[in-house]
Amino acid sequence: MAERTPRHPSLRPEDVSSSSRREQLRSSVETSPLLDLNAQEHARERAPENSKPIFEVRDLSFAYANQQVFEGLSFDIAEGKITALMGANGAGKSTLFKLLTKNLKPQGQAHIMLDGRDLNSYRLSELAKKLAVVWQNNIAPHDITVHDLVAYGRVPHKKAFQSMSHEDEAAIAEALKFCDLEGYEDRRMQELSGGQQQRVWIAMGLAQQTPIMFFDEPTSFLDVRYQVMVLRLIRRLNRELGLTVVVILHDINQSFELCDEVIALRPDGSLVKGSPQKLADEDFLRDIYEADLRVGMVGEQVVVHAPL
Amino acid sequence: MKRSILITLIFIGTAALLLGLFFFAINQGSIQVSFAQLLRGLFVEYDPNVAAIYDLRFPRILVAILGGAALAVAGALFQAVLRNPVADPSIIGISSGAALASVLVIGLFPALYFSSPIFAIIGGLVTFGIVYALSYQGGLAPMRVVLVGIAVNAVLVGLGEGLGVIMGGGAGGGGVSFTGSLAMLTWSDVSLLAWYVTPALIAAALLSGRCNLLGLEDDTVRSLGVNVTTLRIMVSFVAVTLVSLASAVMGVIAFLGLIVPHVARLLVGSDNRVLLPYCALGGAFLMLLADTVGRLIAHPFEIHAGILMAIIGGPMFIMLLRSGKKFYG
Repeated sequence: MAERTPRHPSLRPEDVSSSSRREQLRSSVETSPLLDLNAQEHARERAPENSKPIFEVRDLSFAYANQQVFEGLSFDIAEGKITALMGANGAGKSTLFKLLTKNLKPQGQAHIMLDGRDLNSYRLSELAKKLAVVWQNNIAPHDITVHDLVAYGRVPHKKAFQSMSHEDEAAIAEALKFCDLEGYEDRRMQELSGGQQQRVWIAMGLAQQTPIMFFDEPTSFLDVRYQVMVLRLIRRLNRELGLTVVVILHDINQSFELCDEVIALRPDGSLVKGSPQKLADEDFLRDIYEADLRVGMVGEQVVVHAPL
Repeated sequence: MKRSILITLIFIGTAALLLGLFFFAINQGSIQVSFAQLLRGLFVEYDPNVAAIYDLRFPRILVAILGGAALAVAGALFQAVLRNPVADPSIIGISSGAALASVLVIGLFPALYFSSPIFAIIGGLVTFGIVYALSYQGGLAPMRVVLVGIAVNAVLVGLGEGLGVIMGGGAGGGGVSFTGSLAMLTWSDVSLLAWYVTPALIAAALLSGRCNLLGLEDDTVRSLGVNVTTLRIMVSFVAVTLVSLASAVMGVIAFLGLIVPHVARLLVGSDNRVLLPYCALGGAFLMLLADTVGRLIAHPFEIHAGILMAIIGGPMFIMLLRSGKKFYG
């Protein structure tokens, strides 16, 4: 990734390169539908302190056949922030992820409101213009080109037999550019590295031009160099384009580093919500993961460490 | 853009081969005419030799072309829907189901001959539903589909052959049989096939862009706002329709729906918008080739096209099973 993202956005003064980049982004708003996501409001270097909730979840319960995953969860997800879903295996973060993306139906009296409207009332095609999902497992025909795959991101904006317009091509080009994939349009997926492939999937979601993006373990299967690349890209989606991001990350440190807010599920199905600064302590981690972890500092960053 | 030129050339080359084979096939048999004589006989004045060729050879050639195209396109659609490289519609029993329904209807109610394709389609759909339901366990494992399909197919073939004996050889009329032969076809078979296959092929072409989405994970397709289940059902319906029509007229032709899409994918890639039209062309060619070779190889006896396809297709099926390649659609 060409641009370095600051480790501590909150401590970082405005610098010349980033503000000029912002000018660049603003100036392309007229021509670029991709960036027209309330850019004025959101194109800031750090997430707003008190933004309104984009998701309002009330009294959410879910059980598989005979196993209660959680019961009576209520929480909000803030607009314009990066929120991590955390929890031990089986605590239900994937279930929650699927409920929020309408891949599972909530049970009982639950309400999931997305942007003030019941999530249930969204048709799939409507929802796909509201939120994009980058799933953990992806397959693609081995000979598909990067351009053609990213072009699937335009499906929600088209009728079934409609062909690509200039607007679509512009959105695809913007998404490719943002994910640092310019010049890769005609490359085939099978020729790309794991990190590049993951950026193509992110570009596909970005081409949907949604105000919200969900990521399901976007760094798994990648080596650390690509993990950092993908995490920086996700942060730029939030900081530069103002997207609301909801992410499941397996790595606790990465969750704390990337996110503005954490929603953590305890093994008993209850929920803890807060900023990483507030939550990163040993009691919290024992509570969530039922493991004795140490918390230390490297510079100003909280680091979780598992002594053996 | 070099690739698109290459693909165009492959299309033109295959079309030329098909055309050449068409004229070759017309002229094979006890009556032979020159090309000029053929054109004169067809378009200018009556010629008894050309008339005989027109009545006897044209129908089977045109049925081979239409039926081959239908089978190959259907094979490609099945491979997309089931994400399964070995889901040949004849192996998993759909052809047999359609042929059985067709034999039953024509045998019991000969007056329904022209609407027999409808019953064939129903037979195909019921069979597909049975195979799908029996092999679905939270997902469709390719091998399970094939194994269940083989069992279902065995039952249907048994029933069909039993019926054939009970009803007597000629009961099927219009060339309907389980062995996949194109002998004894008439112009009414051609028009019957053309009336039903053409709209189904157009439907397949219209769905081809959407079909590409089936190459992605279901979750991914869903988050693009597309109802995967509906899409699967639509594509399956078109595929079953095509196979059933071809089987109703030609009988069961094994492996064509398997071989053509695989070779086509190697030649023109896996984009269904290109793949499906090429399968139509390639399927027409291979079917006509099998029928023509079968006609000539042991003259004066005729080897059914279905038998030839089985002899070529069996080894290819084994090769595909052994390669165990992950399939993407």
